[in-house]
Amino acid sequence: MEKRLSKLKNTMDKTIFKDLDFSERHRSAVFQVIEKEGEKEEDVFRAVLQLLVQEKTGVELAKLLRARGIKKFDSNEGFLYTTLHRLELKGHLAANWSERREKRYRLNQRGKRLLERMEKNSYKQGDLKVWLEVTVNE
Amino acid sequence: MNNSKKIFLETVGKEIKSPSVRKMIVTELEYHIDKEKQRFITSGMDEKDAEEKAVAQMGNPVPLGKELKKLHRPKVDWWIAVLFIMALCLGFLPLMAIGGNLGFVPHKIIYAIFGLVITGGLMLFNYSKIVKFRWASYLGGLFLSFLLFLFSTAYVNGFPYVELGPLAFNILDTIPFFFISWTGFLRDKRMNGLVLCILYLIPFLMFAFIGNILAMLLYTLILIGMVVWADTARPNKIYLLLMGAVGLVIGLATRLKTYLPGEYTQEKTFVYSNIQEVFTHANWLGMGGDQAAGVPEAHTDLALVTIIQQFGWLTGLFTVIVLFGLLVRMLFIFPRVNDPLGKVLIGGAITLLAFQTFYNLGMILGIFPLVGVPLPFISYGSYPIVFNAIMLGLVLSVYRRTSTFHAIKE
Repeated sequence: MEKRLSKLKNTMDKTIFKDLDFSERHRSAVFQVIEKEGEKEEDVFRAVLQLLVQEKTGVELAKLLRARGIKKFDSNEGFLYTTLHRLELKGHLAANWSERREKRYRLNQRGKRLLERMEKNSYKQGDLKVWLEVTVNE
Repeated sequence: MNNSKKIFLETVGKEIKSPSVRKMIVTELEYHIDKEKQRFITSGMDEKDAEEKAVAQMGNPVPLGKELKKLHRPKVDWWIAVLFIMALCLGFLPLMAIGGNLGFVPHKIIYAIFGLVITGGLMLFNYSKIVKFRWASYLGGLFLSFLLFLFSTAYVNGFPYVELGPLAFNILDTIPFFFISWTGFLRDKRMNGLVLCILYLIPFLMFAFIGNILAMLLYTLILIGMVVWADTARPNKIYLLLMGAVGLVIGLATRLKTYLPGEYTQEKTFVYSNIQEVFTHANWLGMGGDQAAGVPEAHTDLALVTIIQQFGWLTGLFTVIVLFGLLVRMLFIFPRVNDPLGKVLIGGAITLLAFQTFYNLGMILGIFPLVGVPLPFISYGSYPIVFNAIMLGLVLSVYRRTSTFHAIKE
């Protein structure tokens, strides 16, 4: 049995899987996804809100999220902007363009109240829904 | 050299139709890539690798573009659109009740169509361009008031009217012009407090001169509702609010003085006792009560009383709910708008719609004096429809473009 199976594997490698290349990049991508799954959505949400108490650009936010060990937006930083734009459209963030063509985001009054609820751990069901809606289609 | 960045940005941008939104998104993403590239270069990478790494870090541009497209698609606020059409339809009820023999219905149909066209047109119009018309519409408003003053074809309740075919203009129709001009004045950074105060006073004194206190009150309220949200310099804001408060006090004092116990008491008691009688006889769903106890202004100011009389309490309640629904929806949209100009427009619209609705209800309930404040969309006349249609059109335009506010100006 053992022999037959290993033979099969060898033949498969030579024929069907000949063009399949599982490179180091794929390997790390798989590991990244596995690691991301370990993150709790509400922790990521809370971190984003906390960091936006002070005005920041998307680049600065991405950097600080990395520093906090949050991997949700790793190799996917473009989607940080869909999240920011959605939070802005939902009326939790205020944003403005500075002279140097950088767009800066900051929590507005509604956003601050949301953060307060998140920090007290007394958030309503609707609050987490906001986050899930905001980061949908990841 | 710039290839991978260019391809990435083009792929994302391809999905987004509106040029201004595309530009805003591409600029923001390009900034991000450039910053990250710089970081990689300083950590010792060569330029090409740095750029490729920075682009790869952004993720897949195709789903990103699709997602951003979905996010920034122009939106229609169906709540307001549906409630607006319902209110227009409800406006025909008082006319049906008093009989169509006076030719009101054809006129009302024209007003309603006119209102729909205005709202639809303004929704598609980019509201930020409104600022450009500030002087034109200010002069237009002044011109219209002089026209009314000099060439009025009719006087209704002592106020001059100009009639052009089915459309009748009166002094209140000039207020939208001043509303539009103020959205621009409040954004104009070169305006100083004195100029703003003078610009406020000219129409106010003109309304006072013609003697239309309602116009004075509406004009002042609209200004206050706008100034509060404007990003004007603080001293200018304070001057204008003080002026507005004084204007409001003068307007209200003049109005109430006319209605102190005295010459009008008898007429007033007559109207209120009529309303009382209608209310005591009205059913929940009463069709066609007797015409005997009719109220004056049955199709205009007291249109709601006529609805309750002829179609019952439930229909009346439904009418009020539709109008409140419009207000509630605008209050819901308001905190979601970040643009100061959008806030100014919605602030003005809420103030005006709320003032008319609550004042009219207060009049019917006997809390406020009967001074001829029409119920928006329901009362007969061009003003209650056209004026409020302009307001709703602008609110819809702001809502439609909540996502394009940060589009970079050329």
